[in-house]
Amino acid sequence: MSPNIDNPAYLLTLLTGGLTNGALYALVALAIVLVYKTTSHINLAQGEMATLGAFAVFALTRHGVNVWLAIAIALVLSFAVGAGLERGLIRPLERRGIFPVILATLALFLIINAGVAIIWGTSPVAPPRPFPGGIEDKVDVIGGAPPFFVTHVSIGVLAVLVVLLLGLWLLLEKTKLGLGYRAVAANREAAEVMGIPVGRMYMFGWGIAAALGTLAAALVAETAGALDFNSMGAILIFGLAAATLGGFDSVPGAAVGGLVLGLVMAFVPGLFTVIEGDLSLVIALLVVLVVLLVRPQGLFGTKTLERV
Amino acid sequence: MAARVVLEGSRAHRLWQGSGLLLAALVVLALPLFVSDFRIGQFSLVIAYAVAVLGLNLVTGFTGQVSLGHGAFFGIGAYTTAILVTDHGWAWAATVPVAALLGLALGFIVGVPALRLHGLYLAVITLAVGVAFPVVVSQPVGIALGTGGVAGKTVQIGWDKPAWFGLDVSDRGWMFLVMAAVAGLLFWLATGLVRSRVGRAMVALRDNGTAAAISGVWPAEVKTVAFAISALYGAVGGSLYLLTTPIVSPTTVGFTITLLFITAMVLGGAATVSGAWLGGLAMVFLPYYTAEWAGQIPLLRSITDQPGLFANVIYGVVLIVFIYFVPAGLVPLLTRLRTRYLVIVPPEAAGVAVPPEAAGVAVPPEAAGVAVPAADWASSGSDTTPGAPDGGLAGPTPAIGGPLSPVGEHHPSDDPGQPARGLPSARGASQEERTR
Repeated sequence: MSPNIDNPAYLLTLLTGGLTNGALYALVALAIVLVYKTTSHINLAQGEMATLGAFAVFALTRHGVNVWLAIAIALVLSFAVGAGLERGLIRPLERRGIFPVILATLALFLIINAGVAIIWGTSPVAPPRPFPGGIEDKVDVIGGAPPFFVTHVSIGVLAVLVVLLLGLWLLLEKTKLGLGYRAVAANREAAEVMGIPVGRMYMFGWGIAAALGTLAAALVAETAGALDFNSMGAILIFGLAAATLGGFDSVPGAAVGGLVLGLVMAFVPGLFTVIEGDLSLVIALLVVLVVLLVRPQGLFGTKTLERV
Repeated sequence: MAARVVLEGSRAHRLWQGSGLLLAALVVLALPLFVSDFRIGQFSLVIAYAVAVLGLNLVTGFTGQVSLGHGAFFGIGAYTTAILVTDHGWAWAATVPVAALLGLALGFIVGVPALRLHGLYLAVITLAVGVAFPVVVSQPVGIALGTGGVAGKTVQIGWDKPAWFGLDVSDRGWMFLVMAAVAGLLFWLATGLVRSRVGRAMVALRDNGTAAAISGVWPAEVKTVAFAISALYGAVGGSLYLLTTPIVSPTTVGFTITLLFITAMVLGGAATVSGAWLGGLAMVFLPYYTAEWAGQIPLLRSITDQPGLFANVIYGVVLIVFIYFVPAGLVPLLTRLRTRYLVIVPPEAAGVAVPPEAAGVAVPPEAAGVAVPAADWASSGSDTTPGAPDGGLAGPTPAIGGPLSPVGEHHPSDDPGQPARGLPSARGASQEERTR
């Protein structure tokens, strides 16, 4: 047990840190879920596509574009690339089952990962900062030692998550496009019979997911203070773990799963000092294992029945 | 030219097999005599990778279980050998069984979730294992075990050629020959495995899990065994790797190498044993020549100081091209090419086409009793399994054999392609296997 166990400032710091990271995992998990809901595929290149998007933001800001404008442009580009990849690369393989699609996303992983490293180099770059990230950019809550403060970055990341969830909810629940998307997610054949353009909904899911991923990567770079071609490698695993925890086909599940995972990964090493070093990946692995073995559909997912 | 038809198990077939094996052995023996030490090092690496890829073939290609953590299996073997040799002064050969056993255990543990999960969930869990392994290795937990952390673990293994060995090869060449012998043994065992009762059960499980279970295959046993054996091959591959490279580090065993193993598997042919050789060759020579080629083109050289990165792009492109156009891999393609000149017919098929007595072979009664349509062997080599769920990616029935296969040519339709036919006669067929 940590000696700081009864120190409220310490615990609150763990809490905000966990929530900030959790929000990032939730964004990646959302991207994974949005792809999975309609197509029943997991895009293992999601993280690499996101890195590419973050580097696009970086390249744009380096040419003097405003950070927020650059992010907006990168989001639109990501949407187009994601939708295009679904149509051009994934769709033709879909009839052939899960494995060819997994392989195709792995191939994308290889190409984008190496491509980013070739174009922007293997050493980390200073990422564009949408939120002020200096040492003084924080809100002090509790003074003393250790103090408790919330950085602007944390507030910004959490605010982005909340705004995004609200926007996604509006998009999926209140628009005709969202209705079509949900119809395809609920029952592909029935949606097709009702005249919903199923293929376009797949592309929509991939596009939104790619855009979300780009946003996530930009924020990951912001919180980490560095961006390199492997930035999203571990984050993808955390996103997958969060999606598993929340349920692969549940949008609110992805958000909750991400936040819970972030908290678990902050509090477990924070309170049990027996654990040395950064074993967050192992914790994520254990979370995935336990969830899949105890409740494979996750916290909010629907249980699938298989007919034989 | 009309294709020559050879009856499987006949003297002619054995002659073909024998000459193929002899040729392969001669090539392996000749390599260290005529090729520079640098090249021998490369071919040694091919052997190490091929063994690891073979493990992936067994679990993914034959059993149909997605495994995205093969780098971890490779890593556990490499690290076991590295730690035992460097810290404890073991001989390399003594570390291999330990590495193999640890791999077996890790594979078994990873295989347990596979009992309840399949498809994407299994992909997620194996992916997590594969990504977590290099992290664990570089953390205090790993360092306490002697992994050397992020910097990696250096190993010095050098052998002198023993005096009794007559051929004039270098020490490097001698190591290559030892590695080739180990790999030959492992490939021979794998060939036996996929033809055995277990191998048939593996393929049946891949093609239709429910049907296999109804036919008496116990999925739990077969899946865990497949994962364990796959990991064993991966671990031994890792041990062999240390004979070619004096260091193992977390980046060596990271997710990238898993991706390269997967690409190599698809390239050679997922549901083949000999495809692993082609995969290993690609894993060594593709990056080598890509780097060389990229270094010569000024435009590419100016973009990056790491021309090796272009190889990964090419791997990705190759993977996509193969998924789209050659989903079964190269070996089935070569087998089909071969059937234009030489068709190998299993005895039971010959029972329909040619009277066995006329061909001068004793056909085992249980094999002759199985009626197989003549068309089944006429399409030799492109014999796709009916209703393969993967739609042919791992679909075509295992075609064992190929230019470098240690057991020579083997006809696919003898293999457990169709569970309905293969399983009930599994015992009889395995007896037949022994009597051959």
